[in-house]
Amino acid sequence: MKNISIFSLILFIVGLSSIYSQSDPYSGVARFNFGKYLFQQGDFLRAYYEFNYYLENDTSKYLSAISLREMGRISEANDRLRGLIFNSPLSEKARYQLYRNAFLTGDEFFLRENRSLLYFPLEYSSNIEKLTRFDYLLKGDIPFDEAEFLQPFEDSLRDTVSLLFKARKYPQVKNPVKAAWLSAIIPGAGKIYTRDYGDGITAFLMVGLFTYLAIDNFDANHEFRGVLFTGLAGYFYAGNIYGSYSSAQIFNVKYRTNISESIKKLIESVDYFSPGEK
Amino acid sequence: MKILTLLLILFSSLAAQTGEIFYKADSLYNNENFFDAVTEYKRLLFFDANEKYSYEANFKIGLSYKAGGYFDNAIEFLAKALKNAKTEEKRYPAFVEIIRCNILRKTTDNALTLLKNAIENGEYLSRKNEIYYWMGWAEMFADRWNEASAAFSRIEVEHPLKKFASQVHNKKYDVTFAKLISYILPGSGQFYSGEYLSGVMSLGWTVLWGYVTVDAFASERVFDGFMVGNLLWFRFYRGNYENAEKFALEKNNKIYIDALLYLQNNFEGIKP
Amino acid sequence: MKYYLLFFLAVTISICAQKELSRWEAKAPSYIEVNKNSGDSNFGFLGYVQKGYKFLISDLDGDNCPFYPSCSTFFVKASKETGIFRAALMFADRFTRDTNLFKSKTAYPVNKSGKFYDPVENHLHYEKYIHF
Repeated sequence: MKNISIFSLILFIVGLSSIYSQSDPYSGVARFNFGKYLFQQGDFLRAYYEFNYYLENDTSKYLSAISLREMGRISEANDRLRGLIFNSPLSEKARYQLYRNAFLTGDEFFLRENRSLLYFPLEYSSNIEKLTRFDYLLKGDIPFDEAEFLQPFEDSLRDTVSLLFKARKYPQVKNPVKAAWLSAIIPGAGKIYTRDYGDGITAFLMVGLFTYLAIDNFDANHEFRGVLFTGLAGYFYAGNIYGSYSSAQIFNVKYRTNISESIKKLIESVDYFSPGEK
Repeated sequence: MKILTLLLILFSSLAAQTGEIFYKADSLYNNENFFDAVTEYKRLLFFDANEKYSYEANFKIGLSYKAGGYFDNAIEFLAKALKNAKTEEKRYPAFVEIIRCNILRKTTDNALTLLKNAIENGEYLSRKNEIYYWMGWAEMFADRWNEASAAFSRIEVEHPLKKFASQVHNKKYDVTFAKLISYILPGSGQFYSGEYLSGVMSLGWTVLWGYVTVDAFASERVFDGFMVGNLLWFRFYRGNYENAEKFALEKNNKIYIDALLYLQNNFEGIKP
Repeated sequence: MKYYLLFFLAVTISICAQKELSRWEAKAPSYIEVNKNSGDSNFGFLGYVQKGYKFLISDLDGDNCPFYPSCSTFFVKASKETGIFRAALMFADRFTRDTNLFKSKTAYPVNKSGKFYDPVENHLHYEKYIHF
């Protein structure tokens, strides 16, 4: 009787002390839980510091890597993720995150060529396929045809991705040399071709006006003014040809930038095809 | 009996945990170690299941962020402290710090809306003078010195900041006046704001092209007159009143900056 | 009611809450933002001519150029980049675009002071330099 009561007392004290240590707010587990709370609030720096106290836990290590990524410290994040790709239940997610970081840094070699089992997450292979295709969309040199390209995407995204694919693969660009020739034949025509309608009409009117004034003054035997207006007409004519060439180039850059913006918006809206927990 | 005592020890130790964090956080705060203080107060909030420290922790986090210049974050946590404040004694400090953060990050309209609401709703009646004091500061930061002066005068008739704000207000140039006299006499607006050379040159050009235009019309050279009048005379006339406005605004901006620098570096009273 | 107001203000702020990227120390608040003045470097003889033009004429005839950089600065910078003949052609094109009364608001990006941003680099015929 006495032994049983002493034994149960000792058990009780041991139980109490284990509860006590778990309730220690500076223990590893407690810091991990606090880190998750900070992570959810978006305080990534402090979350990272807390996770650092409990790196023996894989989830803690994983979330610390995500926190580093959210702060822009991508190479450090990758170092942590690589530590998780073997012998960890989070191996597949960690591998996925490495690909996502490669997308963010524009590392196309890693994204496109690196299909070795060392890094490639089989479970999330379709997410990687989508990310890779988006990298192609951003960079512009797409080796797929449309069916192949759209294959990994779900129906809800197909229409949008298809539009972006066509805009990138068959861009509706303007030819600067053509613009220059058009402006040489009719002043301002090159700018109309590049959709700078107001500029094109103004150029036509200016060259036209100075030519008219030149002819008018020559007819009226005002030699000096005639030469002056001829000079001005020629000057603005040459300027208009030069300007049409650059106008075509500016049009092309604007066109490509608009498509890139749409691509970036779309990938942010689908959260980079992430499999959950950022 | 023994079990009861052991349970009592357990529960008091749990309470001692949050107490320990609170003590650590407070000492970090008092040593001006604000970054770490924020961490500990956030830890306190996380472990404080009974929400005993909700007000205190949120309030101190807000003050710490304010000390580091993170005014957006400060206001977020001060608002949480305000929400958790149960008495006016606790509500008022949180409210005031939110006002001060709004002033410091130049969102003075927010500050003034909150202050005016407080007056209209009859809150913090015992601290009306302090409300007017911060109203004055918000108006100063918003570059409205006359309104600032009025706010300070409601505290006392000859409040030192009231005199200061009035002085700044009187130093300022009247932009509309500058523009108006420039319409009548080109260059006068620039003279008014102290840009004498510019004023003389504006006057010179306007008179010159005005003479040429009138002369052209008088000699029946209408086309020439029209061209000179439009491309030269009108251009310089317009430039004259645009410059009058521009110089007056520039001078006023410098007065504003000097006043704020004086308040920052030389004023001895309570600042945001 | 007052809490709705306060929370509205707090929420609109927290959406753009400041991210802490490293440990920080307390700092005294500064009431004035110091604007770093991007000084124009000396562009040689043409630069002096432009300064004279600005002093005597351009500063006095009002704010006429809707572009940033102004047409005279554009010409001086262009001649520094490519030589005077090409710069003259670029200037002719810029002048034509300036004369265009029907400039659409979306044709050029608008900067803080309300001017259309039209830098010299966009007209050098090197696509890689074009930026907005």
